Amino acid sequence: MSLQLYGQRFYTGKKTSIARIAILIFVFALLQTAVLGRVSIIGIKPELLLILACYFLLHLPDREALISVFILGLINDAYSLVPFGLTSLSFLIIAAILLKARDELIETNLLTWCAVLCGATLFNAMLQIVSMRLVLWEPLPILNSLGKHLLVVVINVALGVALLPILIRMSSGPAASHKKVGEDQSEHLKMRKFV
Amino acid sequence: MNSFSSPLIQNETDPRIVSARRWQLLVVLIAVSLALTITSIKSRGNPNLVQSLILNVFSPFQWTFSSGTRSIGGWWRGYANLVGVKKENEKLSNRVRQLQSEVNKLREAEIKLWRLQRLMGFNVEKHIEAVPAEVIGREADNWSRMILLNRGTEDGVEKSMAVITSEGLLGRVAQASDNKAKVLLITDWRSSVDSLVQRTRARGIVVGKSSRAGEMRYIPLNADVRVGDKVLSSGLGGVFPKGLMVGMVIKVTKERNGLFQKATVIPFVDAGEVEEALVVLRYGG
Repeated sequence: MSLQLYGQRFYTGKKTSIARIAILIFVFALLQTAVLGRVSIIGIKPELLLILACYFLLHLPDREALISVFILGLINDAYSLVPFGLTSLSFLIIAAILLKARDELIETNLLTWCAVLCGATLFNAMLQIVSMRLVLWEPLPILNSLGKHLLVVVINVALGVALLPILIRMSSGPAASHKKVGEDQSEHLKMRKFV
Repeated sequence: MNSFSSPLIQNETDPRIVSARRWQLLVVLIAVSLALTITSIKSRGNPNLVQSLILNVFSPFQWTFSSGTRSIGGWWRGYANLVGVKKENEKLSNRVRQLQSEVNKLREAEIKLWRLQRLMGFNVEKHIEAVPAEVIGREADNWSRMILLNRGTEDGVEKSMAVITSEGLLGRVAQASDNKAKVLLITDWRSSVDSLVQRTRARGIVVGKSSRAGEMRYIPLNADVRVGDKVLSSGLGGVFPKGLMVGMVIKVTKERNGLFQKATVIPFVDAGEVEEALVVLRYGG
């Protein structure tokens, strides 16, 4: 996979078909719940659904991104013992931040992708710890959880980088994946000036 | 902006309107999530309609997926095991002969024990009525240690029932819907099992740490606990039957000024490898 792919702007404003989004969600959810549970490292496994949520938030138009992220959160909750809706809420708060940041990110590179994954993983962990502590009074060991999540960050970033070319190809189709860097930036810049 | 474009198209491309729509949708979705969370907390984790729907949509595919990975894994293990299988066979034949004689001795001892228990008025046998279930899914996050079973309330499975395997204790049912049940594993940080050390009968509570090992806490300081000791469920609390294998002690920690000692316990059941389990419907005399 060429570096050009990594230099490509994530958000092109181009719509991705619902079918492609649904397939991606379905495959990632199956991988997370049926396969990754068996291959956890010291009880830690990558958060595929969070990686996909971050990708959708950077790549898809607003409506598709938000609804997809909401669904991903609900799937995560269905296969978890945290209150149903909590992860979805956490994902949506991350969405609010990322969508705002996306407007400022004209060109997303590999470093930005890593930073987004890193921030989203830590933010999600913090939100979950705080909500479980304050709302549910669950005695989640904070230091242990945060220490563990530093490792989750590393795993998520590594997997996210490895999956990026596949995600771009699968969600955009062959034509979009060959798009050159900055091809439709002028339109985006016009939009920004307009705003 | 194209002067010939219709007001509808203008609305769709106007960044202010796009931005307003984004925040409107976000607020709606956050409100829905919040409502779902509150409902879930109020219903004490019982699965609601949306949750059941998601599980029902995924479970057939998950079952196929799990079976697929299981058969690939099984095929690979089978191939690897073929190497040296002849030697292993001879060893096992000798072992079977040894064990056969031990079984005969134990049978005799069991009959003797049965007679003595009857004399002393104890319940002779602890019956366990259980329903077998297949593992069709595992947790999606790093917060919970759970598995999803393909049995639910239709099969008599209820919340708080113990889940076991042939190796020992696996966990307890945390949520049960019509045909699925979520099992909180003993390694989850919310799990605690009243236990005792098999060799010395020292008591303690095995709590999960959301990692491979658990921790046996509140063991009296003067109790004799050593590395390699087996830990069993004590039967107190009424959730887990007495005498189920919980794990093995791999480390003992004595605090200088504490009242208790702690032991790190590795569960006998490796939840990552479990494919089938038994849900204990009833137990006791």
